[in-house]
Amino acid sequence: MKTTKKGLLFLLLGSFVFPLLFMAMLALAVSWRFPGIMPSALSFDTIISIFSKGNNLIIGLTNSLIIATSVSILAVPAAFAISRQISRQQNKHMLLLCAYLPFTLSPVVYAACLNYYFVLGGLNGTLIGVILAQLIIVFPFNIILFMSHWNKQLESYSDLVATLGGNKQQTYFKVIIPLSGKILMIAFFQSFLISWFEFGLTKFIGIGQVQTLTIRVYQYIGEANVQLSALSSLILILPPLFLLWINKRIIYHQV
Amino acid sequence: MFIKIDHISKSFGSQQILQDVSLQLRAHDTLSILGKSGCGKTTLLKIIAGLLQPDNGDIIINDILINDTIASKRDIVYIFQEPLLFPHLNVFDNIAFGLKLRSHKVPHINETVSEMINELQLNGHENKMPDQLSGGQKQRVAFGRAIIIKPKLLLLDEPFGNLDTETRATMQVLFKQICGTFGITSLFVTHDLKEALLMGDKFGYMEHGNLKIFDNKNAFINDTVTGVQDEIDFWKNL
Repeated sequence: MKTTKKGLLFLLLGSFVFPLLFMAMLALAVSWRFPGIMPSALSFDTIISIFSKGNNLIIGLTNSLIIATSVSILAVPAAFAISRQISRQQNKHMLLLCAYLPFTLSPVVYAACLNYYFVLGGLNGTLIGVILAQLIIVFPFNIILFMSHWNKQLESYSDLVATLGGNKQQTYFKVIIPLSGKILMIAFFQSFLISWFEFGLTKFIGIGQVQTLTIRVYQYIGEANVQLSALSSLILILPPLFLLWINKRIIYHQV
Repeated sequence: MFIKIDHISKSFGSQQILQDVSLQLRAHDTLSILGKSGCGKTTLLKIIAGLLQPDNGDIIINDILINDTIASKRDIVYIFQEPLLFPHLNVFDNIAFGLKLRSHKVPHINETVSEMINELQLNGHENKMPDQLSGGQKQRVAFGRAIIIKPKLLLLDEPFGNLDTETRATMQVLFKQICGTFGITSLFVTHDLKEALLMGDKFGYMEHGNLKIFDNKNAFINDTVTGVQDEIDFWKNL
């Protein structure tokens, strides 16, 4: 029984680690031709080359970091405060239904619908435009996430702080936010990841001028550039791995 | 009179919760309001605390009309049935919460909180988190947190409702003692007859949103609506 469990664990671990190792190998392989089991030579040249000035991969990575961080920083606090107001409304179910609307369409179709307004606002092909477009998806996602968070007890805490002499800011910063730390962190991680992996919406609104890491990965695959495809894919999954580690270290231990 | 509630009414939709409620209370007295669940006790307290707006009526404290004063400026603390200790703060910080909101100096906070902890017989528990405390200890911390800011009025909404009989009795004694020490003026609502009699200096009975105030304890005991006579008869005939 114990051996089977251990075997399954190794199998699971292997299925997770193997693709990573394989991609790392692809990124380092100078030439790897069939039927060779291993590459004939390994080189760090590709990795070194991405640090050269104006490298597309670094630009994509920087853009992705800026967009994902901005989207998370803007969407999470806004959705946190607004969802609280929604939860206090009598027609909250109708408002919540509105938050689900962006998810009834594919992001690309959604982007096509909104494109006119982005062109009108001169936002097409700009970083701000892409951030705004992603907010339209990430913000309602956070509204839905936070709506389950607001309950009678949190309202009682707010009332209590008010009668103890606390103003709205003090209520938020001394009680509501500390009590919501876990869900805020989850919301931030999720928002970052949604934005980080977003492709269709970004490509449509970015009209090829805003190059993110996800767009680069597709581009390298299209160009059949094995080394850069593997390297960019590895970089693409670094944040989720980091967030998974943080999640295990902080959130899991709080439960 | 220290506190005067004049003709307060409140409805939620078509449901009338409070009907022309009036009461008066002297400083340092406790008014016990007895009433069944759903009779409007909590709504009355929330209106006095400023957490709900009345449809009609006035709330006057020290001859000042406070209808339009927001809850945080009223200096009236509401104690819930649940102790509602802040789970991210230890006992010391929970009690010190109101003082910190008012930006008191650290040495003053340390001294005042230590005195309060002593008064509440919570010595040795200062650094404990709320989940490490018993029900009675939690409610003591909730009292300390409320009393330490010296509110004009304390509103207690069945504060011992979740405690076992023995702890409840201990807390009732402790509360009376603390009220005396700190000269607290309070409104104590409960559905427990014995508790209402024990805690109050003045007495009221609430039913279907109507509040009846009694002149003295005997009037409260002798009125059939309060159920005291039924209770006495029950024990006599046992």
